[in-house]
Amino acid sequence: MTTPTIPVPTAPDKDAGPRFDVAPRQRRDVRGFVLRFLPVGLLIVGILVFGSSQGTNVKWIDLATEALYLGAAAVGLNILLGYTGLLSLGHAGFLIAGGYAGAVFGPGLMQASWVPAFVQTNSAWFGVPFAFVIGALMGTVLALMCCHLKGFYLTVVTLAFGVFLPSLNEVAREQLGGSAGRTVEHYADTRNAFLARDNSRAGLYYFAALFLLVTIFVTWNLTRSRWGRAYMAIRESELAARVSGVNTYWAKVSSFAQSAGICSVAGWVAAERYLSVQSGGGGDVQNQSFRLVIMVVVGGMGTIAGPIIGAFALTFFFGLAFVQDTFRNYLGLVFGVLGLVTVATAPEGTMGNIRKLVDQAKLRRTKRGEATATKPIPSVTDEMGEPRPRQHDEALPTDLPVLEVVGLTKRFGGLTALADDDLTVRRGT
Amino acid sequence: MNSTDIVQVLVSGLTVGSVLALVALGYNLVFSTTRIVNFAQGSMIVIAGFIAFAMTRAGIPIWIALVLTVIASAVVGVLVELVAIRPLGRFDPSTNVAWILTTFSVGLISIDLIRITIDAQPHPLPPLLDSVFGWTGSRVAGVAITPTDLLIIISTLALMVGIEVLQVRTMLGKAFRAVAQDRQAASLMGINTSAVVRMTFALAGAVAAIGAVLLAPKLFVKLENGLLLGIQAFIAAVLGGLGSTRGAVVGGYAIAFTSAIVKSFSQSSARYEPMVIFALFLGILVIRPAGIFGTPALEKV
Repeated sequence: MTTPTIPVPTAPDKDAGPRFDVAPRQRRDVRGFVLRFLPVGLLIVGILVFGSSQGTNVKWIDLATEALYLGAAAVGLNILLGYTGLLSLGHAGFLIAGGYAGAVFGPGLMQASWVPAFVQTNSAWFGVPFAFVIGALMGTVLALMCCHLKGFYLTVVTLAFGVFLPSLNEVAREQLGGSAGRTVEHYADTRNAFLARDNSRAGLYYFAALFLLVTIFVTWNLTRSRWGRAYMAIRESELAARVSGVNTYWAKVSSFAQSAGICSVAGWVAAERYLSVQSGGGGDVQNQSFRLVIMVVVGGMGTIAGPIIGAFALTFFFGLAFVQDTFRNYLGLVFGVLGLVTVATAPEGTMGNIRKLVDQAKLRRTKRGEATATKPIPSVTDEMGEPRPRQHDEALPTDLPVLEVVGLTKRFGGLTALADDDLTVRRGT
Repeated sequence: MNSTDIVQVLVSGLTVGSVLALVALGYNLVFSTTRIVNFAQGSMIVIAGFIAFAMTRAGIPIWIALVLTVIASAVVGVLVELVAIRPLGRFDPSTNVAWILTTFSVGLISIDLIRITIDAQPHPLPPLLDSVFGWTGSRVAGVAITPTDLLIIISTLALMVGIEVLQVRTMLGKAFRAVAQDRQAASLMGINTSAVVRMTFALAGAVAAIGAVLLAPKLFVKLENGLLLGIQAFIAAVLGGLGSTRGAVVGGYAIAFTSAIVKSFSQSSARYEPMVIFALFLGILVIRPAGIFGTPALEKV
């Protein structure tokens, strides 16, 4: 009786390229690294090119400064809206508060005689951390007032906060300057700041750019930290997060504080840009907050690039199309339609759509030639064809995979658990 | 505090409270079936006001204009539902708050559309009543009381009773409550849930129209009313308990009397009024988030 010989798979053809023995992780990491930092690199290059070519063009450089600080504010708001999943309709209030605190009150306080001379002369710059601290404190206070509330009640408190904040102007008319607001007296000397050469607008532009980059860096790190994970867990399910040991209340409060702080610094830039701060009417804060939210939603909640794309696109769009004051009337109309259309048709925003397209392209590529060309899906029929007792025969090469997964991606909402992962389970492992 | 102040507080509290209650009733109608707050409610009042203004400008008598505005505004309410709520599909309003953005958007869009197509000026409307049995208004302790004030107070209370009866005594009201409790179960019982939701939006529109016409002699028809009334009435609705008709009225009066009392203290105390209302609002949300008459929502696990 002859035992049937087990067919031995031929050794992989060396010329056909590596089959399973490549180190895909290493190769993918290079690509992933490039892909991950390419947008930031492009942003930096774009900022430098724009700054050096348009630095003297008053209209463009001011518009760019506005886009940059609104982008940073949108990234800050996104910490709350995109990562923690809390909708705030009062964040423009923090921009105003940051302007007052950082550009008017802070530098004013720093003129006191006991303050070191160095701080006195640079009081406008020291207004930046001051704005952040005051904004974060205000955010904490607001959060303490609303974070025990569920769903839309929380939004409503932020809405009311935005509507009632300007009425402080009635109470403290002298300090806040009434409807005319306050002019920025101790403004930052940005003439030779950073790369600017005797051009205060360009200097402020570079500061706004630096602020945006720092915000991106901080947010990127945050989303990979324990706190960021807690925020995202709250977004997916507050109950599950609490059960898993997240102190949801304080996580929400801290998320509020950070996003408010970032928005306040954006408010400082805005104050330096216009050299004045107004509290505006109740409707102004509400509408501006709504616009910030729409920027985040249109760009894509829960991503870093999304809010920046949204803020840049909308700011430049309005800068280009709505120069004339008559068009200001259309502001609410355009943002309202954008909000309606985005929420109804593309709730994940631009970044969500891009991601979807990339995923689809990847899948198509894998299904088509590329995956089979470099990594043929191994045939398992010779093993499975005939039922027979399993033999651990040395004749079988141990590197024959029994399970191979190519290009696996799994996301939970905005949290990517696995990105384009490959998995090969070999025999006997 | 002299007698003028007391009468002033009473009159102002009752009329402003009724105004807020009227608007808050609109919030409640929608909230009671869908568990969402229609942030376009303030704008719906502005729309209704401008519809009525266009009609009276065309020479239509105010009472006929009122009836036509109520119908037109009900259609606007259905449109708001169609544009803001329908595209979202089935969703849980307590966790998915996309509806805040869509209703808010609709409110902004409609205000801008009015600004573009008509204008941004405040417009007067003729009062519904010039005189009641020859009484054209009088002064009590130096405070003017007009038939309009009386009409606002009476019609608010009448509307409150009407809506309460509708919700408790009729089959339609039963359907409202069934949809509010469990949409799926209600639809299994043969209730056309989307028609019921549309119905509440239409009713909210009708209430907004009545409010707009009643308020016009006092506040004019103007774009700013949307936000101003919208937010204060919303606070009134939350204070009284969202979804509760009685709550809306009580909340409206509570806010109006608070602000009237704060204003009456001294010349300068009026500027603290927004702060006091905001504090009152926060206080209620801390102590009793569901409001005075509201039932706290149970968290389903």
